[in-house]
Amino acid sequence: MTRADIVLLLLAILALPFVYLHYWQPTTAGTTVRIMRGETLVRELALNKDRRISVDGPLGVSRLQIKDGKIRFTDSPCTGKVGIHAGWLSHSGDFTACLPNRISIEIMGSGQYDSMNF
Amino acid sequence: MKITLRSTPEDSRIAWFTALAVTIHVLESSLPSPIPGLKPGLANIITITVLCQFGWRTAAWVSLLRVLVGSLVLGTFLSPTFMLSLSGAVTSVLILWGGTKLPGRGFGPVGYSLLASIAHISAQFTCAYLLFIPHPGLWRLFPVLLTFAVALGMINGIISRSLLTHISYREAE
Amino acid sequence: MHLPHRLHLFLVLSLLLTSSCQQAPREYKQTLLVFGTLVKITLREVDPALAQKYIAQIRKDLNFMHKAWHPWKPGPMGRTNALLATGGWFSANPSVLPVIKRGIELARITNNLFNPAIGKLIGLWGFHQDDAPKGPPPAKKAIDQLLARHPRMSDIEIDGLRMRSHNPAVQLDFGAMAKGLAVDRVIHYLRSQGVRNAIINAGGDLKVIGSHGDRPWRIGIRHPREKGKVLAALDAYDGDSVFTSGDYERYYIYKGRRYHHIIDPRTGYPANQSTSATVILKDAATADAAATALFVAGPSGWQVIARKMHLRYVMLVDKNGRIIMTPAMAKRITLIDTDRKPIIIQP
Repeated sequence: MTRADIVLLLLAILALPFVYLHYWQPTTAGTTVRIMRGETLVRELALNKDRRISVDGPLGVSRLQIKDGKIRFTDSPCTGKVGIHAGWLSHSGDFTACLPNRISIEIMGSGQYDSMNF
Repeated sequence: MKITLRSTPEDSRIAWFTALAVTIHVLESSLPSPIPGLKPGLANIITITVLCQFGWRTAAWVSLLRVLVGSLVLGTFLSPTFMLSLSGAVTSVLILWGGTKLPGRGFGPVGYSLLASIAHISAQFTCAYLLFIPHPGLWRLFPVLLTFAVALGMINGIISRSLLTHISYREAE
Repeated sequence: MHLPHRLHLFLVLSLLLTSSCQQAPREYKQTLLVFGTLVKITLREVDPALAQKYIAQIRKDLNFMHKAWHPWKPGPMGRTNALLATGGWFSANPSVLPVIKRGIELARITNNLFNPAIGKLIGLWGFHQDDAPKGPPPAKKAIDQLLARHPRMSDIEIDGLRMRSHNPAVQLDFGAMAKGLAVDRVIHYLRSQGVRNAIINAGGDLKVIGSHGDRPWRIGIRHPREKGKVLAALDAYDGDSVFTSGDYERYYIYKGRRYHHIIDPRTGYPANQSTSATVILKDAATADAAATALFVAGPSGWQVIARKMHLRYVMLVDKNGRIIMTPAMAKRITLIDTDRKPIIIQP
């Protein structure tokens, strides 16, 4: 084996525990958000990674933002803006939608609540 | 009119090794797999051996042709299995290209094999997540499979190394 | 070739393990985009094949009700509205007659603060669509003209299967009751199929059957003003309907003022004394209408309604953020994230 081989092998073996730590954190599997178009799942994302998402609907693009374990609609092509009015969602069982654009989000996971009333 | 296809020694080399890799690929695919496209990657032994013996170009041909021909033989062409295989092969070929640029003595078969298997599994996971299973739970499998990728990458590399010494021994004779 | 076999065995096992950690066992969840809203169905301890069958039936039922009860699209209710305007006798469609009867009864018991006869007014404001309007608010003159004609549910006369309106201004919009009625029907269907643990959440209003295994269903109530916060938590038991009417979902801001979808039938403008009203009752249709009526009544008038409707569990958040609740509600609800002390009043 060359020196590069040995370095690479050691690096790979050393990295493994961190990979386990990273992907097996309880939070990764805990709270996620389901993004649906109509009744079809578009994506299910963990809430522990900040990001912005765009989802196409029949009226246009709905934009979402994930930050600090919460998600919200930042923009949607409907007049009512009900999805945006709902603000940040983070509790399991909570959900909102831009109905005219048929894009909805729901917080999944075994959290404090089974369902949200509003 | 007569069309003559002249094949270079490299062409027949590629064909020969591709045939070998496809055979392994097909045999391997007859084993049950929990997720389509996730395999121990024994065909990579051929890619690595070819890479060390004949260079990156030939290895890239063998690797990509293996995915294409293998899928045609198995009837999985353009199916999810094929997409996963292709994403893995393309990524590992690209990573191997980077590996050959390492100055000094560079990588040996074990290093290349490790690079290839890690690139393979990472690309397949990303592809599976983006295209087929958009559920973050999928990534919980990643560490386990990465562990196996490292172990199998090493084993495949060692097998490839012993093949290489065998080949050079025969050529020296 | 021993290694690959072992590897695959390991993969299968690890997949099983991780997937079993992922999903709560024996819980089946489905989202339906029906009834002009999102309907979330949670079924526990139901065979997935049966659950799919139930959900397909629920979808059919909700679609039917939505079409039948839509106030202005062509359909039984739309046709009823057209015929009510004529003032003559007509035979009522069997799919809307029970709804209208419930509406008459609930309007009476809420002193017409829940008034489904003001469909024209709701239409004038534009709040009768799935999407909310963006303003501007209608002219005061147009509102006053509609108010002056006093459409009431008591203007409707029912004789067997026939009905007529004594007031041509009566136009029915059951937006504040239909969801409750639909939820009741879905729960009734699930019970008839032997489902013992379920939640139906239709756009934020919900009704439960049974429990979540060895504990009651846990319900969070959104804070009406502080986005992303939970105002209160409560446990829901078999048959409980938890309904909230709030000004924070369907509204628009015009020249700095908030115009929301709960219209006070007395003034013709959005009711402005409350931010939310929550009711727990067994009957979801009554809970739906009660939440609307209590919201409209506000902090000064809610007790009259609560007494008349024999409501035990009421929570009202007024426009200043004061939280008012009945003693029974105070016992079963937990306020979250707030320093405010609730004001406990026996109606």
